[in-house]
Amino acid sequence: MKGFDAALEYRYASALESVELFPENLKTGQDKQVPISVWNASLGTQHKSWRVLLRVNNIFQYYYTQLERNMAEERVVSITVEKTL
Amino acid sequence: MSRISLLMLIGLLGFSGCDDPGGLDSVTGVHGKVIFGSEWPDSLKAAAVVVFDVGLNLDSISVVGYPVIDHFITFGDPIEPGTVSSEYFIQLPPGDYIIMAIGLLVEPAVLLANEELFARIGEFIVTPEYAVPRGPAIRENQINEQTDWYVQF
Repeated sequence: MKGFDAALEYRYASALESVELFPENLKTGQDKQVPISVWNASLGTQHKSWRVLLRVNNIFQYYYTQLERNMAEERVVSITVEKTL
Repeated sequence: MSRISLLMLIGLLGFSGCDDPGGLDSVTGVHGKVIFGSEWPDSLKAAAVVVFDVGLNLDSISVVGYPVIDHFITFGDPIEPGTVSSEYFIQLPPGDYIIMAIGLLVEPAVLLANEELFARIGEFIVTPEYAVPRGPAIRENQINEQTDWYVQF
């Protein structure tokens, strides 16, 4: 075992001021624009020829859109196991 | 944890700020079902569930020249002629509204594509004979449900 490596990522982008197709409708609340504020983290370890990586994207389940009317990725937990041959 | 790692972590947290940027909330609105209780008149090109503000005078909606557009808020998906029943959902912020089913005398796509025409929407709508418009109040974080709404043009 060679210890752990960890990473914490933060991504922020301010809300779009104008969009091409679906501007925010203030009367109905549709197509609201919000900033992007997403935290990701990963934790990995290696043992001999094996490597295990745990990764969580969008830790705080932040809801936002990057493309108009398309929800961006919600929280995703992934485990990767690698073996060097 | 080394000092550099700690400083990087603090810097990252500081960059994000302490304020919640506020993501997208769960939506509020109204949904229900419209049941068409009679044959569709040939003159109708479509129907739609339409939302007006509470300032709309229901007795004047069919009066020529009444500014219906001033009270218009939004509408649901167009309903094709001959439809027997149709469910709808309309996103709305909490508040009081008048919601009613109407018939359209022009193609919805034509109406939507022409701002000048849309401003005269009052001239192109038909109100049902046997549907009572309702005034729902949508409370915070709730979906107001309307069911078994019979419409007869």
